[in-house]
Amino acid sequence: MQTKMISIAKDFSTTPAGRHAKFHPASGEAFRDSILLPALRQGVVTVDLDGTAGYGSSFLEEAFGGLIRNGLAAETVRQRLKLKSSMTVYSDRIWRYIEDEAERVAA
Amino acid sequence: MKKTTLRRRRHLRAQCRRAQKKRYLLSLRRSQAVARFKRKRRATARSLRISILAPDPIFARTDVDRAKLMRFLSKVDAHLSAGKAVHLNLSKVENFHACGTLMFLSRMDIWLAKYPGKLTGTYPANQRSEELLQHVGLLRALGLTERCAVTHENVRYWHYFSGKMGDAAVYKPLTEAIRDSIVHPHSQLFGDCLNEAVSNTVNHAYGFETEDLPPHDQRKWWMLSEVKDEQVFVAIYDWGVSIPASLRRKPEWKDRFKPRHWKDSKLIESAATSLWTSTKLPYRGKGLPEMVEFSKNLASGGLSISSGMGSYVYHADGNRFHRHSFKCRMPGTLVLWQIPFRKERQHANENDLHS
Repeated sequence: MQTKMISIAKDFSTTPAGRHAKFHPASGEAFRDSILLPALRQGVVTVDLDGTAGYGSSFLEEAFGGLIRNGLAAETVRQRLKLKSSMTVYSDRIWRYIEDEAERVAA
Repeated sequence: MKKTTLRRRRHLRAQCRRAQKKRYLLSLRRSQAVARFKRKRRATARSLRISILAPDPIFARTDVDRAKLMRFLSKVDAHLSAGKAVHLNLSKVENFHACGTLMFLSRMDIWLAKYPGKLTGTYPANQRSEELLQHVGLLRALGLTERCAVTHENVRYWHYFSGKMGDAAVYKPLTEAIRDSIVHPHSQLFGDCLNEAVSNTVNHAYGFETEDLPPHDQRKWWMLSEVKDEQVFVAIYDWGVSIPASLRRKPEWKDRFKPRHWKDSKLIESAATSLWTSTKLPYRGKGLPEMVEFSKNLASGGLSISSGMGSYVYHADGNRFHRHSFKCRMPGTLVLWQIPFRKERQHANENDLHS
């Protein structure tokens, strides 16, 4: 299984924001569908969250919580997704969004 | 050749004089007609162009000042939509506050796109006001020459952005310059809050049609920042359907609030402090609560969310919230932060903002 490193700032945008690609050029949906989801389907992914001008909960929820809504099993996400950030608040939020969505899907 | 008789010569001379007189009278009449036409055209233009005095202060957080500002904006709106040209008399304006100024500038943006060539204006009498209007590009938009250098300390920190999409790259210079200088334990999260505020506008502000929405190409967000007295004010505004109208429209909200007839301020509080949203989706609606959470860690200043006839305000001094009802309705939604700003970083960041 391959391991991939994704830097949001370098590989996607330094100004990620918003939920849907329709309204936001660097949205969570665009990041998830074009970069994160294909990479996670192939193996372990480390996402580097540093270097951007901020995120916003809409982006983080859609990019990471949206993985579960888009058919990836919660267990697969837990095993394959690694987060790298100088601010633990982002990692905490992302895991909370993933677990919340996993609970909702399971219910 | 037959010699012309004296009588005949006199007759020809008289005929020539009459022709000359006729030509002279014709040209006189023509020039008089042109002058009359010009006078009439000037008079018509005068009657079609109205001068409207802008209020002072340009402020939207007290009932009296908001009512004055809304009357001014409505009056301009009414004349422009009636096909008249409007001359904005800005001579008396001395006090621009981020809240009211953003409402005024955003409306100007809509008018200039909707009624091109119909708006003119005067220079403000006050030097600082002129610098400010020049700095945000309003003088140029009104066809006035930018004749002064922007030197006033307060004015240099005003920054004005707008957009239709939720593109954080538009206001990235502001985010990066401010977030390192605000007094907050997690100042880096300021960018998140700005992104959420803009995202909320893009996603929800123009969610359904009402009579008073701007034209489709002008359904935007507007942002204004101001640094004053070691505080940074960041205002985000939209001319959308307003939070209370948006929530009241949803069937599940109608059921919830029908017996209680909640006021606008109470509805805004609910949207800002709970995870209930107009979308009904359980994973949505984190934007406003996230802004409130961020504001709870401020040492002073606070957050104000105004929409419709209500507002919900968090005061960091004393960690208290209060709801306020206005008599005068505010179209759309205004989010205003007041955040302590480190003086020592202020000058360092000036270059960042202007680079």
